[in-house]
Amino acid sequence: MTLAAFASYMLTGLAGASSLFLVAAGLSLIFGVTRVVNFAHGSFFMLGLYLAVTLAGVFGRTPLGFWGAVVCASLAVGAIGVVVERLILRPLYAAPELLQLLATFAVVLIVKDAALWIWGPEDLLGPRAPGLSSAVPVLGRSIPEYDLLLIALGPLVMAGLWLLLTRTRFGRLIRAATEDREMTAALGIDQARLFTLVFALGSALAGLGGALQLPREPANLSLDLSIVADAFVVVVLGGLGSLPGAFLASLLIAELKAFCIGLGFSKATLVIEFLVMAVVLVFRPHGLLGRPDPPARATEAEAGEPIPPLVWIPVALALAFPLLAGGYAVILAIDIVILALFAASLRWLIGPAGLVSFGHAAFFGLGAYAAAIAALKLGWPMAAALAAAPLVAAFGAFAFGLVAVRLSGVYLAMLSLAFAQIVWSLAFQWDALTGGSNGLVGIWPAAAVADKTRYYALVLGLAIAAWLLLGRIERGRLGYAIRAARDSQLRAEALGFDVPALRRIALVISGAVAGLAGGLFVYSKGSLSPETLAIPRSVDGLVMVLLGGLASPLGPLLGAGLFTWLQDEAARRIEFWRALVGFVILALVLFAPRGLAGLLRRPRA
Amino acid sequence: MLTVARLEAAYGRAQVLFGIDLDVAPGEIMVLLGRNGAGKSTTLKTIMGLVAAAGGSVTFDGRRIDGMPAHEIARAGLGYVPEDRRVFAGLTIAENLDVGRQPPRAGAPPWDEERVYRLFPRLAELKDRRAGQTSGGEQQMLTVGRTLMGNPRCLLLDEPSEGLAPVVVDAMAEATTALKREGLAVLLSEQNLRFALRVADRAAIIEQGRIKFSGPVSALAADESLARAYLAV
Amino acid sequence: MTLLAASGLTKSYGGVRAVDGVDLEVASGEMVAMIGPNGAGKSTCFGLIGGQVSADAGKVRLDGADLDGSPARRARRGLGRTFQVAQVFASMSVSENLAVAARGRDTTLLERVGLGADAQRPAADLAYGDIKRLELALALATEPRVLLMDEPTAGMAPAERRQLMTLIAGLARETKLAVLFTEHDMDVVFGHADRILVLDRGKLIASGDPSAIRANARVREVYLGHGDGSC
Repeated sequence: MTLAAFASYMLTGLAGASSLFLVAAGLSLIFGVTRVVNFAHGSFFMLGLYLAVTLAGVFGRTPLGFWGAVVCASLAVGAIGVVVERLILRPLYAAPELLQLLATFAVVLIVKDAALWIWGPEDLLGPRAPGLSSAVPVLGRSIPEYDLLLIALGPLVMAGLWLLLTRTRFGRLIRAATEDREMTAALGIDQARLFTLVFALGSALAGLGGALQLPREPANLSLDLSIVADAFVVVVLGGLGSLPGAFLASLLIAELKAFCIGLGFSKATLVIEFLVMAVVLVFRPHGLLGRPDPPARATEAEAGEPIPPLVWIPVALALAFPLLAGGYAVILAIDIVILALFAASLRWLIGPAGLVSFGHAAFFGLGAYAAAIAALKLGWPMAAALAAAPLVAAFGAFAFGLVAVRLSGVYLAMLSLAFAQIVWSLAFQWDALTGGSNGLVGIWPAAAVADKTRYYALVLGLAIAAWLLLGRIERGRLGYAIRAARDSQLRAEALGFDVPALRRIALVISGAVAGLAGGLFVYSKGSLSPETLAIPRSVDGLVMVLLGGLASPLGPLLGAGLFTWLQDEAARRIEFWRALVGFVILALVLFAPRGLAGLLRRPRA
Repeated sequence: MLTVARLEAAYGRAQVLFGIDLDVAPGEIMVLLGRNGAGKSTTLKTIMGLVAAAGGSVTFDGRRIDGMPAHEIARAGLGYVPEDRRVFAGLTIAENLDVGRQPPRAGAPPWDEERVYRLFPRLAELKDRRAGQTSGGEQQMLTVGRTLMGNPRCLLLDEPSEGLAPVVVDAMAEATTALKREGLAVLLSEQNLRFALRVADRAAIIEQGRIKFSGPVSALAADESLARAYLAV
Repeated sequence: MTLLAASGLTKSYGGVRAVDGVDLEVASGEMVAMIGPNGAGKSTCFGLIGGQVSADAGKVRLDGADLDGSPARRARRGLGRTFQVAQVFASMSVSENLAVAARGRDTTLLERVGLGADAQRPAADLAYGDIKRLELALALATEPRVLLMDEPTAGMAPAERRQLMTLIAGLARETKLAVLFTEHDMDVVFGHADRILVLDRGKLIASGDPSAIRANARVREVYLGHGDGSC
């Protein structure tokens, strides 16, 4: 590599680092003060870019018009942030963190459809920055002037935030509230106002990050999740709540990407950041500059009576109905039961084991690919291929567990996301084995269950068996030990329980069940692609579990049923179905925080 | 100045306070005595709005404050010093004090950093040190000073002597009486009978969320059976 | 016979020596109290022995053999402990808590610590003193040879304190259990400890039988004060 090439990659990386830092800084500030993991942060970035494109068109192609559009877009996103905070998050500050996450995910769906409605599905390219549209020669290579401006902007914003946090009273209040919210309230500080301001600042930073991309990339509807994934990686890699950490991590990630692209390994960029994050978290469980988590809120005891037995009758009837009805009901029922099994495996992990996974689709996908590869490449019969699915997924979970069990909370969730991305990129890039982005086709069930109704009977039977098994384990001695490790790691260890081993076991069991669901999925569809284990499926799983409610094993079934049916029905009938799903999720989070299963319980006297 | 009537509170389904009655006058120190888990801390937190009251009323300066959010109660003139100190560990001593700053109140000289340092000279020497790197006693002084920066007219002190070296306990006792002389009302919770007898004018004993005794401390000092029955002495 | 022996235990946090070269021994059947002001290093000391805190230097031996590794490993070697902030399994009932700890062994510990009537209650609903009692039952359910108790009687009335400490003393004698405990209540300390260790700023400044400790001028200065020790 020549010095000139090196310098050019370096500068490209630095420019990328600046915009990454803007987004990550906002996410980090919001998390630090409000403890909300804001999934919608990437949506704010996307809105910033769309708004800037529109405003730049209105304001005209002058420097004032361009920069006016950037600033106004950023301020407008800040204002949207305030609305989101006031209407959606404020009622949820006392709720479990996962519900807040679910609510911000609903915002993602709503914003996406709002953007589709306003700006349409086409990519929108913004104008170049007037006066900065040429390139500057650096060591014989030309670097866009605009990139040089961005390079300067990152450290400037960092310095500005640093001054704000250390030299102003507002900054001191933010830092105090980051450490102890309740105590700041007792000292006369209006938390609600502080939260709103911090949310406004954080969203405006995300909006600014988006708006500044105006000449660099077109506005499009897939930016939200890709940006938020990057921002999560940066924030976690840097250490939650640490701005210098976020800055450092932005540099690291952006440089790595720039060099990968520059050196011709552009495919590697898909996975490199997650690989780096995984490595860092294994050695530094709290990120580069992070401090240990504040202790999580104590686990709530199971509240309310068990679900009344009468509820099981309609559930059983609903499950049996497609067997008789046939037709489309069977197709939908197969999807629902398979996803319910997937969700049940995730509930097992989040509930009894207390381990939150943002990348559970990895195990689903491992099972799916295992079955497909066994069937297509090895020519195994269906029974053997289906048996391979949970085994391979369990092995994957075991491997993940080797590095993951030392982490907890958001860090563990992020590592699971990284793991899922790595598995995804394997599926995406290992053409010879997985068919790459085309995936694999032609995986059909054995003749005996080729009929959809019969296949549904098989799926239902296996799902019920796995579901009963999970329940047995949960109520058995192993389940109690796993719950004990969740309730109090200190006490469990002081009683001689090997907590890491218990967590690994919990992961392996959960992974195996998710893998079985994946195997059944492949045979129901006849084909699979890397989408099967992409981030959206992990998120879907999480949404189903939380919609259904964590406290009851019935939750995943109800959650998967509602979510799948809603998606299916809405997607066929309504153009803006995502927004509808988003509003349904919000309604449930705000009015039925214990999930659907929670609605069926009578509160204890 | 502060009147608590039939106050009730619960954590989840477990009721902790069953109708607490208390009152504190300006320039008076009232001590709430009781063993761990009797409801002392909960009483103070409920008055401060950190735990929601499930029943009863809290009146401060003739104004109902129960149901108000904590920051409004603080601005109304109630200062709260938690038992576990809860300093902002990553902020310096001076920054901690600044977080507590609120506008001055008519009729009383306002608190500022210098005045806190006069009350606790040790803090002046450490003002640029991160609070997390100071000793338990220094943190206790800081947390009292931080609350005073809000110019409270009534101070709620949760177990100010808990786990502190006697030297620091002395300093706390002196500071508390000095504040009382300036006309502050003080409601403090204690397990330590000796500290209570030393500083307080009146005492109440709380047991399982109910007030079992209320009266001048002299009556408590005279009746050993009371202390024996309800306190860990 | 010395069952638990620690030597040269040292731990620093950010340049401050929280525990600074502490040596101690506890014989089987003996009750040893560790006292000192908050922040003196008592809980860190317990963490070093229990394995919850990793030592900068020093060694712990149980019955002559090195006691090292994870807390779980030390627990399986016969070390039981309670924590200053009692640790129980909040999502389970009292009896489920004990079943987890006892791993199928039959036990009457709930009755012995006075929680027999509360067996079906959720542990999260117990009063603080009862949570302490439950935690003690959990620690005893593994049939440890050495028991560390961090403020075992916090949150209890005087009569309950005496009752609980008498129970522990009885167990120590019956089962040759070695007990090391911290406590702020001097009645408990002077009433039940065979020997007392005094810790101040991470260093052991005195050790001896109760009467010697009560008379020790240095101990009066840093901890007991000039009253009778309750301040």
